[in-house]
Amino acid sequence: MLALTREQETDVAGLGVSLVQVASPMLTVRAAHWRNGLARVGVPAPFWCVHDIGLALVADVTALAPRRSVAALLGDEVRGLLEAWSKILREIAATEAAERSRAWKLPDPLVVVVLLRVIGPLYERYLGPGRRPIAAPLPIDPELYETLDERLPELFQRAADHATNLAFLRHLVAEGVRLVTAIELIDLDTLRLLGMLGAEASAANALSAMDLLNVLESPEANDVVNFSLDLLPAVLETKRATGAQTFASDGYAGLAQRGSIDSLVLSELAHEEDLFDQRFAENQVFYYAREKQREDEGRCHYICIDATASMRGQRSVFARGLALTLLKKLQLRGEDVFFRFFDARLYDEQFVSARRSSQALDIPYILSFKGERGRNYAKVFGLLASELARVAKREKRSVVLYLVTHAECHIPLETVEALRAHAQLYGIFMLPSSGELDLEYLSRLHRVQVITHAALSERDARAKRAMDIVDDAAGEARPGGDGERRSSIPPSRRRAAEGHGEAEDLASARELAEAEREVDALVGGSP
Amino acid sequence: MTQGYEKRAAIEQARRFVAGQKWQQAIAPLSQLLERGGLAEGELRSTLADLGTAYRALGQARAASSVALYVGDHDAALALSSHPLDQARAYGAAEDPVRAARAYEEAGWLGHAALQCERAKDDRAARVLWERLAASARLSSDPYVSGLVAFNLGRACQRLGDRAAARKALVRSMHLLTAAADGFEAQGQRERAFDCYGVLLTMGKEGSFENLAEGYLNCIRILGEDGLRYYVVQYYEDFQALAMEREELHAAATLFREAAEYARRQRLPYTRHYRYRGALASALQGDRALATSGSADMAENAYTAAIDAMNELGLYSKARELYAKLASLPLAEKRKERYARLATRLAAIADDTTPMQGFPDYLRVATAYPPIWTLDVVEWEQDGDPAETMIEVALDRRWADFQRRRALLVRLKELGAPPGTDPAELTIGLAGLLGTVELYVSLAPLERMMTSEDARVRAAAMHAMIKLFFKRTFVSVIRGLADPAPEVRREALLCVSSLAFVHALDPLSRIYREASDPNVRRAALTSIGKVNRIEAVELLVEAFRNGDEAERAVASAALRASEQPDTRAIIEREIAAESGPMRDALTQLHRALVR
Repeated sequence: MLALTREQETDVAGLGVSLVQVASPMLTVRAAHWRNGLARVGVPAPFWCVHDIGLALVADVTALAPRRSVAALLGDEVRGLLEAWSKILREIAATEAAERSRAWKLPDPLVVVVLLRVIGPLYERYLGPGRRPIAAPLPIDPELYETLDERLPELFQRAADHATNLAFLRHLVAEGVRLVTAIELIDLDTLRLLGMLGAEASAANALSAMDLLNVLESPEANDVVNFSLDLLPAVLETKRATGAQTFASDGYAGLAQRGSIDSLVLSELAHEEDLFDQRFAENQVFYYAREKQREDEGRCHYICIDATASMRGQRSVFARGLALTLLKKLQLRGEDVFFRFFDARLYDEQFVSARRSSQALDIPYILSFKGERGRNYAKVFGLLASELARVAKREKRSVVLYLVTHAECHIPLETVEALRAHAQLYGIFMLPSSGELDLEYLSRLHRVQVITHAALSERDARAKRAMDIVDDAAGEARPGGDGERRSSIPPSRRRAAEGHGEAEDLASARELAEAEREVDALVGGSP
Repeated sequence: MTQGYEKRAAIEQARRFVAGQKWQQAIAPLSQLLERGGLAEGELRSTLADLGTAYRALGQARAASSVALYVGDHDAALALSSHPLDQARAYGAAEDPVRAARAYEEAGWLGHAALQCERAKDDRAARVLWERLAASARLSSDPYVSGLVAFNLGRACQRLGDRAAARKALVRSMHLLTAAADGFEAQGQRERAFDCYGVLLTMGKEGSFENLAEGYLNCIRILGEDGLRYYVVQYYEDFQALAMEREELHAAATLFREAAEYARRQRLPYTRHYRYRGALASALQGDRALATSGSADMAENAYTAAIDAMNELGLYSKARELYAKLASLPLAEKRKERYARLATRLAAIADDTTPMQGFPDYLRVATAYPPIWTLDVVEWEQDGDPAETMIEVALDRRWADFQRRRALLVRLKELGAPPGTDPAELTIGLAGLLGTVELYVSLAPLERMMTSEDARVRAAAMHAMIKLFFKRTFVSVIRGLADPAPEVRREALLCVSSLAFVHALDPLSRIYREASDPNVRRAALTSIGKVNRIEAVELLVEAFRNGDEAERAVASAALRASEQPDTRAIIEREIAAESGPMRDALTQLHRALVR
């Protein structure tokens, strides 16, 4: 069996004050894994505490009692403290967050993050200002924990100092309400979102705990989650479009008037010979048609989200929620989507494709990404234009560029023209509380969507506006919506198009209307 | 005693020369008296009067005019020099901006002229001048100053009510300044990027929230990276107030949380205060969501964020109130029951009464928002001319008397130099005087001297910079370290050893990492050791692990003397990550710290 260092022995011996008892040693191994995860990010809370709270989140913890093997070694004070700790653990286990996390079978990285969220602040307060302890990693060895109960009395007695464990136990008991309330405050919606996106959530495994913690800790990220949850259920109904074909492969899709003789519907042979010949000559006989994959439309989508400080507030919530939904929608439709943030830099792109199942949405990244620089739109979009030119040349595919930004995103006109040469431009602009949209390149975009501050601050209006955009972008009309697709030309320019404006306005508005028709045709699937 | 004796001797000597009308000889003791200071008011007045007389007698009209200007005799100043710049200064000082503008325009200083027009409330003329300046060929190679000029033009148009022209100019300014800021950051000149964001912030104060946020948050980021903690907090405070004022409650709540986190990381005592204000902003956001749209879900999110903060602060009574609010919202029954249960749970728990200390007013810096858009245009137009740069200081009563007197001396030395003076010798003398002014504005003339072909001039300029504790000084220092002349490199090295202050860490780190000369690396490391910042400790530890023997010795000594509370924890972390002899060395260092 693995030999333990002195530090590890002390940590493992601390389990003498743990109360959650589990039959499977694998659960204790998981607890060791969680504790190592916490220690890696500078929160080496005592093992017993991580063990008890963590197991309350993943397993049924009805049996709460001091371990029989060490019970006799505990003093009266400890026993009293453990009684109080047991009450707290029962409360934790009864919280909605714990119930849900047990039901959803949280993976280890998420458990670590949840523990970090609830234990981290308590542990910080316990330590107070000054130096932070550094813990040695615990061994991840089932054999060690299988025989733990036999070895625990010896380890417990051998560990010279239990003062730290007892002090933290006292602290936890004193801070019980805070602990339980912190667990109650875990944003269940975020956990639900990660669950809802199923396979994609597995990307969380590869993420650092801190990224996920940011998501759980940040009310802004939680707002994005809530917004996304308003939109995603409708989007998840999206089915990949299919078609029918005549090759003898795949399942039957229906009947067709073209096909090979082996697909002929047998009842056709029941016709008189002459009639059959005539029907055959006139292509009226029926054949079984087979399912075929939707033909590649040769399009790819670039979703670029402004991550500058200018997007602070509801703008950022809307932009990310919308992006998440649009990404999912397009992915479900079987399209290739590139996603990237920008400020004065163009950050690494995320690629999502239905054809490559290994490509998944990096949800915590989208939820919690923070720009690091100011703006430099001329540079960023110049770079993007060169990249789009390369994509268009290399892959011979048409590109739709979605630009999700704010009303002060000033891009030089010549850069917009360069983008326009290689992509259909779809601008989504969010207005501030006091602002209006007045950008000189608006007329050069193929489609413009404006989200007012009022729409941003009202849930239904916000969700409806977002779904309109998603449907519009995906080229689908939404039943129960406004029915007709609305023009996205800003009202002032629309007035101009109707002949009530200056000559220049009129020309630009007409140009915009023309561009809208162009993109309608493109997103609608016709070349 | 000695100083008093020297002063008396100088006064005597000056009097003798003046009485004997030996004007040229009188200049030196009179200048010495002005430079040293310690003169009674009457002595100062008579010294200046003698100096004026001496220059007049020597036919140095511009110098004589400067002295007259300094003592407030505008008419004499105007009469003495017909140079348009001197006329402009005199009219400016005499509160006659219209004539000052005309004189500046005659001198070709359109920016100065436009500013005088603005002072005279003549926006139409100011606009024309800004437009002319914007079209100037000299500006085309300088996007930063072009951006500032466009900003000034935009503001003038705004005041005139020409919205379209104002918008066009401001958008151009935005393009130029954001690109310039990005370029400055890429070159490691964060302080110059800060100036760009300062302008953007001002644009936002007068316009959209996006620009306000962009300006403030980037300024905060840069100030934070430079370790200027109280500036960071002041900027957070101001931005929070503006966000609340504009009802950008979501953004405001985020700002309060970020300020709290910053205060916590920097061990400032304001964490609880900002956490609490963040909670209040979130609660207000919830109230507003209910009042405007009746959206219970949006209100629920906001209230939950507020409860999270109240819970962390131990303010259970407030958390209880918020839970009660949540329980009364039109939400699913199960949710409402849960909230009611949580409110009950907190009923009997007392609040944490730890005081919440806010940012006190006395820590606010009055000059936190300098009008960069005018200051830098003025500097650009003066083009590093010592006399013109320093007259601004000499006439500005906000500066200390000793600085104003020394600034005047720079101008007099340049304008009153006897005919036939060796230009290099003159510039070397000017460099020395510029250093004694100890103001940021001294940098521009010294930077210009650094471009001189004469190594003696460059060395003198470098030497003068040793007292200029500004981040911008390092632009010249880095250039000086790579100078072909050894005397310039020597002076630059002395600067590296002396210029240790909190926001010098960034350029010092760059010098340490990029220099190939071991002496330079050691000097940089020594200065880094004097900077009391956690990042400095990290760098010292890195040098201890990876540097040569001499660097390790410097790093070790600096770490032992470090006053950073996290030094030990950082070394402990390094010990855990190391093995072999390095682990032993770090352990030994750690023991020395513990002792």
